[in-house]
Amino acid sequence: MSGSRKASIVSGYDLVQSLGGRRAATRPAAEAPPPPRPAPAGSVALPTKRDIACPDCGWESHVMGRQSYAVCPKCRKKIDIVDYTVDIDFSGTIATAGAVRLAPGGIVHSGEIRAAIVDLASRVEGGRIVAWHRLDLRAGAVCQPDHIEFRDLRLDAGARLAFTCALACRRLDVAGDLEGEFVVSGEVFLRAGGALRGSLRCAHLTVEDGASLAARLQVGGGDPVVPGP
Amino acid sequence: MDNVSAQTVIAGDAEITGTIKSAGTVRIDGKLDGELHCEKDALVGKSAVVKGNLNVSSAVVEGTINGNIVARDRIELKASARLTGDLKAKRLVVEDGVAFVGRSEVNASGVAPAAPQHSAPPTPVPPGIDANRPGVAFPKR
Repeated sequence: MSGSRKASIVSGYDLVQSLGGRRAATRPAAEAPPPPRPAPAGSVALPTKRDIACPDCGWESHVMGRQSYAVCPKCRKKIDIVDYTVDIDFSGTIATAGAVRLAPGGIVHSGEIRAAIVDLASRVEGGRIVAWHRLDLRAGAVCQPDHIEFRDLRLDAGARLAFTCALACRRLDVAGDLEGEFVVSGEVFLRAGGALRGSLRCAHLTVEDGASLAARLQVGGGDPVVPGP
Repeated sequence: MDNVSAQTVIAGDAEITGTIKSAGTVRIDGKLDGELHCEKDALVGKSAVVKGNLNVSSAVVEGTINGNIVARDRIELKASARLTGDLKAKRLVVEDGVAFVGRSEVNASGVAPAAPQHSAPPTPVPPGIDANRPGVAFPKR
């Protein structure tokens, strides 16, 4: 360090002015500062809200944002909120408040699958599938009524299901082929191309043009059945 | 259905007991205690009360019917419809809010539906699927 260094006072204003003037003089017109990035459309400040239910006690609650697990406020057990996909042979247990997709090519031999939404497109030979919110049946799904429990049922076009016993549910949406005896406390939608046979007792029925309906019906003023697993 | 071109209109203050046969379109807003045979379309208005069977080409129902409806083409039940009886048609449209007690026999293809079976036949396994593959499901995160 030099011993003859002379102390000097640097004015911040002068420094900024000097830098600004130098930059304005040296920056060419082609290197203009890039425009500010526009804010992404649709962004919200609040995280998304997701309704969940405890697979053990059935207590319904909600979580905010992306969480992989939560704690049930009633029974204090850990709730898994992960989505699963099963496309191979399965004989285990899955308990989640998320969704489980049983893809074509997989076979459920035994065990239990409990989820909020179960998307079934595979073969179920045993075990138990409990969809406490909704069960979606896709084309190619093969299952017996003894192996499934649900609150809402939705049949995709191409799916076929026949129940040998009376079934109660909250909501029914049929775009495929469904046969059996149903008591629905809520709405029944029969989409174009869908078919419903057997008997139906529901509070509300909507049939689209092109649907097939060969059943005994009682629509309006049904008993308040509380379905669910 | 064009209400303006309806050829036969039974007004809301009319009560008819007996059978009505028409080669054209019929609109009912009053009370009919009997049957209706119509070559074309039939429109049952909101204030109409029909106690009898309807045999029509197409029917649009907004009122109350205590009887069976047989349509050669289409039946449309509006939200205010109240039907106690059976219906048979090629096509059916039901709006939310309909009260219906009876039997329905509707098939878009016109082929008689198969009798309900009490045992579900198993669907054959698609080719290329090996049921003996071991493995375990991994969660997707």
